[in-house]
Amino acid sequence: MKLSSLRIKISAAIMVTVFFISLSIAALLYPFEKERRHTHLKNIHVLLTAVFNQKEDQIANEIYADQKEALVISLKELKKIEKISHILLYNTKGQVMTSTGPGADILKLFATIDLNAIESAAEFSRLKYMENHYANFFSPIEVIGVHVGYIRILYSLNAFEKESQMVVFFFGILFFVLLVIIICLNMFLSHCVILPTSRLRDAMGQLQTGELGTQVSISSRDEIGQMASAFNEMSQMLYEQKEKLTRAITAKDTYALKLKKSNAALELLNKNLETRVRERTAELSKSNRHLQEEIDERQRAYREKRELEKRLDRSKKMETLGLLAGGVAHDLNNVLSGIVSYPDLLLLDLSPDDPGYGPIMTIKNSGQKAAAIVQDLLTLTRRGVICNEVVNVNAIISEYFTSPEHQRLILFHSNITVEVLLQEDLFNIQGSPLHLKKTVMNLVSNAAEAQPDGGSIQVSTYNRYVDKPIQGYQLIKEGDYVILEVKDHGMGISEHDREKIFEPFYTKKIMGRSGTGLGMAVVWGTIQDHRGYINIKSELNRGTTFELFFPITRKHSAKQEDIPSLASHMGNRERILIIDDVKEQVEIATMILKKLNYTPVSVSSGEKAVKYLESHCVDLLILDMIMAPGMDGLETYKKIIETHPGQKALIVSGYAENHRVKTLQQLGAGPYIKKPYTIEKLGRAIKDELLRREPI
Amino acid sequence: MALKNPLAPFLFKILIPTWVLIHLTFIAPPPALTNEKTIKIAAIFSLSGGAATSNAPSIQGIRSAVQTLNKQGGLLGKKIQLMEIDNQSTPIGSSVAAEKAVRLGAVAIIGCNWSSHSLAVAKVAQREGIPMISNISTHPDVTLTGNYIFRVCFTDIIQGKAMASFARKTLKARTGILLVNLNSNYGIVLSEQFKRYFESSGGSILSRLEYKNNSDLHHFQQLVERVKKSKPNVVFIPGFVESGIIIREMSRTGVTAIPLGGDGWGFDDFFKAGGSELKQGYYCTHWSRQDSSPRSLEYLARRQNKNDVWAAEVLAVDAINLLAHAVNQAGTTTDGSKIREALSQVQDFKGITGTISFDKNGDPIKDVIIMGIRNGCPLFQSRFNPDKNRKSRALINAADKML
Repeated sequence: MKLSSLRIKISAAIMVTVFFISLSIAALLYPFEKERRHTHLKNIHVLLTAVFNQKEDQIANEIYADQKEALVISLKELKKIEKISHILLYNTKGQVMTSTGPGADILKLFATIDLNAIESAAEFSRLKYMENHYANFFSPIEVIGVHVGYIRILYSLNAFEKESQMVVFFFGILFFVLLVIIICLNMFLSHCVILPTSRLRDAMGQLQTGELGTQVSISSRDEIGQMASAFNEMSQMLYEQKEKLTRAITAKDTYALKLKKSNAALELLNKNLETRVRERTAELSKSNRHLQEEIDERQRAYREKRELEKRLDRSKKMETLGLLAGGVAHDLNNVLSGIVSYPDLLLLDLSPDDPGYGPIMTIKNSGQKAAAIVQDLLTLTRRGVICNEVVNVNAIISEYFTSPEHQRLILFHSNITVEVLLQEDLFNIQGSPLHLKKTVMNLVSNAAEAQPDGGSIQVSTYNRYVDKPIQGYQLIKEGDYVILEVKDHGMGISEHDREKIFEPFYTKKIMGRSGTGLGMAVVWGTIQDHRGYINIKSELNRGTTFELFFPITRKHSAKQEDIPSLASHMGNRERILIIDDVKEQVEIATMILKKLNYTPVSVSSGEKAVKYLESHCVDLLILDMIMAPGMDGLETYKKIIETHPGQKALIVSGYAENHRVKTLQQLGAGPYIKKPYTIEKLGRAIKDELLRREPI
Repeated sequence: MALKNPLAPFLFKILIPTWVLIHLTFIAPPPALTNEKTIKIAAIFSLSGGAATSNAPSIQGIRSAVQTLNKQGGLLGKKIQLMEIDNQSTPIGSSVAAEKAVRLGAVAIIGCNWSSHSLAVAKVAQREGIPMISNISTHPDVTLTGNYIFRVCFTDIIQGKAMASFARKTLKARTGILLVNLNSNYGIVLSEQFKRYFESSGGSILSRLEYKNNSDLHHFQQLVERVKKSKPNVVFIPGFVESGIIIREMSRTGVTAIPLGGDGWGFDDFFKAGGSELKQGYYCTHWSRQDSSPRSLEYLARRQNKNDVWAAEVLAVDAINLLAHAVNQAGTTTDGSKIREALSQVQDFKGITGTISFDKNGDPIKDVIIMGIRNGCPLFQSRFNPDKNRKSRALINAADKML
């Protein structure tokens, strides 16, 4: 039904269009045709009039003069005009005089004229007689006012009529052709549009009812054909997809089942695997650890070996050099003694005014300088062959300040004040007193030289625990150190010079004035030999601070007094938890605590401490402040007192007290001990804290 | 004409009487009321159109004669008022001219040249009772129109016989072809007469070829071709100026037939048309320059160039003089019937072209002058006297009756 209406629509459209086209054509052409006919007739009239006028004079005279033969010829000539079929001449009475033309009937028709009926002017009309069409031209024949008769010319309009008929016929043909076109168009459309469309619709219907994969057979390449092929593809696709889906579902079910089975198997396997993996991992990590330890051992051993070799080399070198230098020095010294001592003798005999005083003085000074250089050389060569005495830096400094060399210095630099600040319980170090003395001397001397217009020098010592490596002039590793600091407010050392000051003979000072140029080299050498570090802080025209780091030793010096009695610090096997991330510190603390008859337990981080304390109780904490990257002491303590309020604790740190420490103490922690600590210090602090009672 | 309309009173009581009055006052003064000092004579000839050139000598003659007469004091103490009216070389034109002559109050008409024109004028003249004398129209019917119509020349019957006789007897022609202008009443009748006499005397007319006033050179050439094919002894061409053209074409195409013609050849334009191609031929005429009669010589003496004088001219002079004579005889310058009377009674009037006495028709018995053509010039050949041929006289009468 729907397609029928489509056909009807199309047919209607075509017909209406065609109809309107033909109508328009007709409407357009009709007036033209009419005009044409009218004009043609008019032309015929004009022609006949002209032809008659041309001949009128002649015919009139021939009629008038009764020249019959001439008249006949004249009429013949007139009749030569194509399509003039009949000519009739009438006399003044209206009777036919002569006539020419085929067919007697029509001539009879016009045999007479009713004189009453005719007008004086010419007449032109159309008539039809016996299937023939004529134009009837009638005119009186009159020349110079003399009327001699009438003429009638019949002009055949058959062709004319035929023309018009042809036009009508043409239109008929046109109409017929249009009709044929309509039919053909209709058929064509039916074939090309409606039929395929209906097929497509049917196929779609089928598809709708569920028959996927329905194909429609349309072979054309036009839009409908494209639609059809698209439809086919789509239908096929749908079908295939449905198939795929069904298959997929079945397959999926099968797989699901399989999957379940394999999953179960896998789980089982997994459990086994985990166990096995765990076992293996444990084995592996154990062996790895062993390996690692072995490797470390080996490496350490190797390194030590290398170190020892190096030292051995150096010692040998130094020994050789020392021997050489010693020999040279010895000889030089002997030689120099002459240069040094004789001038002294000479000077005794001379007064300062003497001309020779000056030169001799100079000689003496030069000699002394040379001796000093020699000394320094000797000192340098003795490097590596240092003694490893247990010494205390404080003692060395005190010794120096009482030495004649210092006195001389003070005298020379009278406008410089020297302050000394020595920590009382300075730890011992292992080293060479001689070298250390020389070091101090050189540093002080330099400090004095740096302030030619006067100033002050501070020499101080203290213990220091380096928590984290410090990048100063050198990379200073963690550990307990004794610091020797020499500070001046002099001209400072530039960046550039700082690089070079430890090189032998690199000096900013005027050669010869003082020093040997080897002062800093000696300092450097000493530092190296003592396994220490040096740090230089300097600002141009503000001052310089030399910090010398010496690693401590807990050995006691021979000079030192006995270890103070530890009896009062002994404990009663109380449980103490050491919370520190540095292994050495833990070891030291553990050792000290054991010695002090406590029961030490250790953890390496704040978090571990908290965890430990969830299931254990301790009497005291030794809490390190800095335990990066984990919680620091404050945070750890906060957490601990949630479960163990009033937990006793000692705070230890390499740094000075700060607000965190104070906060800790406000929370209830005990005293703060600065690393490095002595046994005595630690013992005392522990005792104090254990015996402390909460304020009521 | 019974008019049943409201205009009738107006027409009858006012318009028509007025018209009649105007007509009477201005257009046609009735003869009885005339108190003129002149005698009006109308000369109707072709002053324009195809016949104008051939009509010129006639007009020339008339003017000359009128002048002479007026110098001598006119007619009956009145000067001749010559009214030249143009007939436009057509019969209808001639009829209109005749009507005009009537309106102008002509007491007599001289005219025309061509017979077709004279026939038309004669009708009107006869109707109006105005005596008419044609100088050179030879068609028999002209004078047969009525008793008011006269001519001073011979008729076609006579000249047809004359030429046929000449052709048969002198030229010994056995075959002939007629070339006829269908627009010329003169040509038609003359060729008929020639044929009759030629055949009755044993000759044979092979064919009659026709042409018209509007025939062109091509048509003439076609006719000449046909003549050439037929190979006649003589070719009779009773035409005017076109005859010269035809003869020229005949001469050019090598036609050996001898051209024969009528009095229409005796004009200057014929000889001009033919020119030097007029190698041979014969024609008849009313008068030749070689005429040695005293009157002829006297007239020629008055003319400067003799070669300009043609038959038409002297015939016209004769016509005027004849009229003058008749008027004097009649003793009136106004009464047409009296003048007619006088004319009909003319006996042995001595004209330039011969002695004129009218027969009952108004035709004179005159000799036919046969002329020959040598190298484009006319030469006197012989005379033909109709009276001498009694036999022919009977024939003439018979022929008259037939006509």
